[in-house]
Amino acid sequence: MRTRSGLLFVYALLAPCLLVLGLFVLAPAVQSFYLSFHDVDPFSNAIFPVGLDHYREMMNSEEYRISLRSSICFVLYTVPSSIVISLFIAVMLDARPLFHGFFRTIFLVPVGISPAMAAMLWVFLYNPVAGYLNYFLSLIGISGPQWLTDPAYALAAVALSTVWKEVGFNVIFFLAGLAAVPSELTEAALIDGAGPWKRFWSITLPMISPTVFFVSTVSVIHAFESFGQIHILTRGGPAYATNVLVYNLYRDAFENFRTGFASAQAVILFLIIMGVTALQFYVAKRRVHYR
Amino acid sequence: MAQLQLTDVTKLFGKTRVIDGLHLTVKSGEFVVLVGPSGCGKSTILRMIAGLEDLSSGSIKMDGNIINNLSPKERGVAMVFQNYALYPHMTVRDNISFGLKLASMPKDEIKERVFDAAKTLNLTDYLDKKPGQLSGGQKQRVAMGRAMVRRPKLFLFDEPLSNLDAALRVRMRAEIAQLHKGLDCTTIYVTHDQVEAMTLADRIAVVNGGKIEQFGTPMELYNAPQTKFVASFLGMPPMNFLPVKMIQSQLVPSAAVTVGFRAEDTQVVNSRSSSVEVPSNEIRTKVRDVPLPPGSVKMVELLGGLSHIHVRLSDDQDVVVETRSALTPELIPRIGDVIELTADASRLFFFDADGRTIFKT
Repeated sequence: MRTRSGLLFVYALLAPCLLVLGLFVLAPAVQSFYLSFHDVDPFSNAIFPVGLDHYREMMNSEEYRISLRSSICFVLYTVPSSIVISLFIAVMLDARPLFHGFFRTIFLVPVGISPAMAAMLWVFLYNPVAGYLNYFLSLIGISGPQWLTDPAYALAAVALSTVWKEVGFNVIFFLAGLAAVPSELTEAALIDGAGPWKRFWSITLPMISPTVFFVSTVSVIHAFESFGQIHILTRGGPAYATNVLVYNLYRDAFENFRTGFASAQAVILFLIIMGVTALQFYVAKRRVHYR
Repeated sequence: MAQLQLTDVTKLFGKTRVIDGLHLTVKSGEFVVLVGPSGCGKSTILRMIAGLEDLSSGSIKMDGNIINNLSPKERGVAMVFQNYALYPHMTVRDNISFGLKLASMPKDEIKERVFDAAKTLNLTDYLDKKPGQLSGGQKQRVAMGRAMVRRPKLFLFDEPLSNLDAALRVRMRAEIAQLHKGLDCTTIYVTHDQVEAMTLADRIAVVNGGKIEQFGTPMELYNAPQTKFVASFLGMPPMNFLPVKMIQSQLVPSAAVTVGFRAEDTQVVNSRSSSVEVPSNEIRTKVRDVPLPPGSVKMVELLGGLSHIHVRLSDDQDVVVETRSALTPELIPRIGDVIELTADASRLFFFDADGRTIFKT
């Protein structure tokens, strides 16, 4: 039985974490929700209630609709591709090829680079005149596009840099998931006559489905919340092509000083992420096998 | 049914020689048990036969054809793993039929085979359950069902009962024996449990340090062990050994010779403790019985119908005596009681310094 002093000790240990979460996460979230129904005067900080005006404005805003579409496209560009690529890399590394330690380090390096540094790297790579990407394309006779300034390519270019960074992070989790699959299961499947593809599809993938679920949930949240690389690579442009929800929100809050409107967008973004995560949990119920 | 022949098989893990020039021939339909202590290489032998492990050198022939480079699938073997290795996300039915589906067998036949196996193994009520909902014994039966339905040429068992409790192990042992009779399939069974080996095998191969110490029928190994290792490994409790030789029916200390005698061939002939009387049927002193140095009782294990008395002899050697009748409380020797023992002179084994059997009385 838990004693009273034991319980106090538990709360004492939890207190610092709860304090930080409360102060820096919960309180701002509650404040955002409150501000989403108000207007804040940028000079006097005076607050005026406006009811659902901000939400109505969002519904009717063409800019917001474009932003929402960009965000959805960004999630679709980055999440499935980063999961498939990182799972492929993890499966290859798990087979312990020659120099697998070296390769593993190489794939994990992007995780250790700060988003700002990584984005700067991609600014150089994408440079239409001096960048490596177009240089290599020219070697095979392709004249590369203006990656970051052409609206048709900008979102894809930002997505590519994001995938590059996400892959390393995902590989760590997939490697851990694969290491936990008992080798006897794949051996039993081998004896049952399953080829490599069948073994992966019928045994390995279901066995690591909890990891796939975790990685996909976290990736979707990351993708919806992407900001750093967009801020450095394109600043939401060109022509709103990379003006995803978070970037739109940022601009309204810190460039247009419309704190209330930005808060309303934050609330809607939160609801979108909650909704998608709930959907993922619903699918997971049937598809994810916990041992 | 398949005949299997391992010739000069060697397996190296890095520089460690795990299997060393192994020869083994398994007849068609035979039940062969590989028995030995942990780490002796018995599972590696089985995995090489299954195709899960490459050979470093040597060859494995099945029905006269070399199968060294064939995949497990092409070898037509089925294997039951120690930890069952059931696919946890599939139902029992899917687990059993997985291999058949891969072989593109018609659905009706799959259904029939799965049903037959489930009936044989008393699993019909569990076909739609997942392995996580089954007990250890049921999981083991599913693993056997999965192997059975494929009608393999060769059945491989890798310590299949070691995760089960004692009572269940005895029951499953009987079921495996029955199954083998019914299927009439060549079987290789790995275990470290000598009781499983003795009860199941047509022939036992005792493996030690990557080599086969002796290969023969259970009674051959029991009655005529070729090495001290085999003698010590088979039989429960293990054989008693004393560093003595026999001169004119008397045991005298020796550095070069070890004499072995089994607990069941050892008798209590006298007790110096007034409280202990050995039942008359235990005293069967024969002319040929060899007296052992006197000893004191260290421990008594009462197993019901029989008892094991652990005795430390005056020359600091430990021996175990098995009495074959239930001891009533007043007859149980107490710790510290001094007793005299004899060993059946017709069942003594003599080993040289290298552990090889010199002769048997």
